[in-house]
Amino acid sequence: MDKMTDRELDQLLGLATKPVPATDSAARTAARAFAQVGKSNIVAFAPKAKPSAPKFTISWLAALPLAASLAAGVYLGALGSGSYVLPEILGGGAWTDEDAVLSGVEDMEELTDEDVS
Amino acid sequence: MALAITDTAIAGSRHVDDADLLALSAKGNRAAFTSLVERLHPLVHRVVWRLTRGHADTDDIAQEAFVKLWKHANDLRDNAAIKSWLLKVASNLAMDRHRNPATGVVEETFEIADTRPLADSTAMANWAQKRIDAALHALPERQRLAMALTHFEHLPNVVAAETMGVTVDALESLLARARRTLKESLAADKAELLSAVQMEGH
Repeated sequence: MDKMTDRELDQLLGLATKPVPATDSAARTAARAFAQVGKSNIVAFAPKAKPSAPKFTISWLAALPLAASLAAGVYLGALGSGSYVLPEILGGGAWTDEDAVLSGVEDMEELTDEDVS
Repeated sequence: MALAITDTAIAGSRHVDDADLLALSAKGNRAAFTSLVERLHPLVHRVVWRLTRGHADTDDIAQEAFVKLWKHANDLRDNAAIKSWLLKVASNLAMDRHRNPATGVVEETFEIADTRPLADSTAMANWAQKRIDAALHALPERQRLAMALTHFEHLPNVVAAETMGVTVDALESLLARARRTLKESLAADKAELLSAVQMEGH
């Protein structure tokens, strides 16, 4: 058996398969890298969300009877015809002791023992 | 200055070197990274193919290596050594994936070529190619990697040694053993193989 020379071996190796990647391999590779790894120094700009306006906790539907009730109360109060439904303490006007003299002068004299008139 | 290069220029330019593209990639420039992949992917694919013996997951391994590059572009200290770094990552991935976990030996799943040459020239060429591929595939993985990097990809011995994490002397020793093994395994069919070479016009 002849001994194979380096040159002959190189010629034979020239016949070995030359692998060729698919044409879209590079594009798919880059796409996979971008999909798998988000760069920490790439910060996507996202506008700050505006604070939403406070929502009405009572809907218009619920507010209508409340407004009607308030209007009726004001109307009846103005006529004075609704006082019978109120407690006496509220319907009878302010309580006063008509005999009392509320000048406060007497009290002042008692406190100071001097004539302040 | 690399940072002054626009995306459009990068996408179309062949004058920007790998180190500049990597520097831009590290800053999150996708056009630069895509250009880098287009340049280096065929090389990585071929080396991985030789390590996996053309296994179906060659593409997947090559992709994984580039995902790591994109992920660690900031960490590479020597941008000029990108090719070596990438090939090292890809070859480690390929060897890890194709090593039998139980034995630590790379699985021998390739098809052994029929040793009988055929008369027809096309069939003869196909037979010769399979015979040579099988001889290459039968090499130990380190010798196969050394052959892939130096003989098939024509990388300088210094770069190949750096990629493999060995000294240049150790690399040359691997190459010498690989060539000796190939000569021995192909010697039986030397005449037929050389005639196939002549038919192919080599």
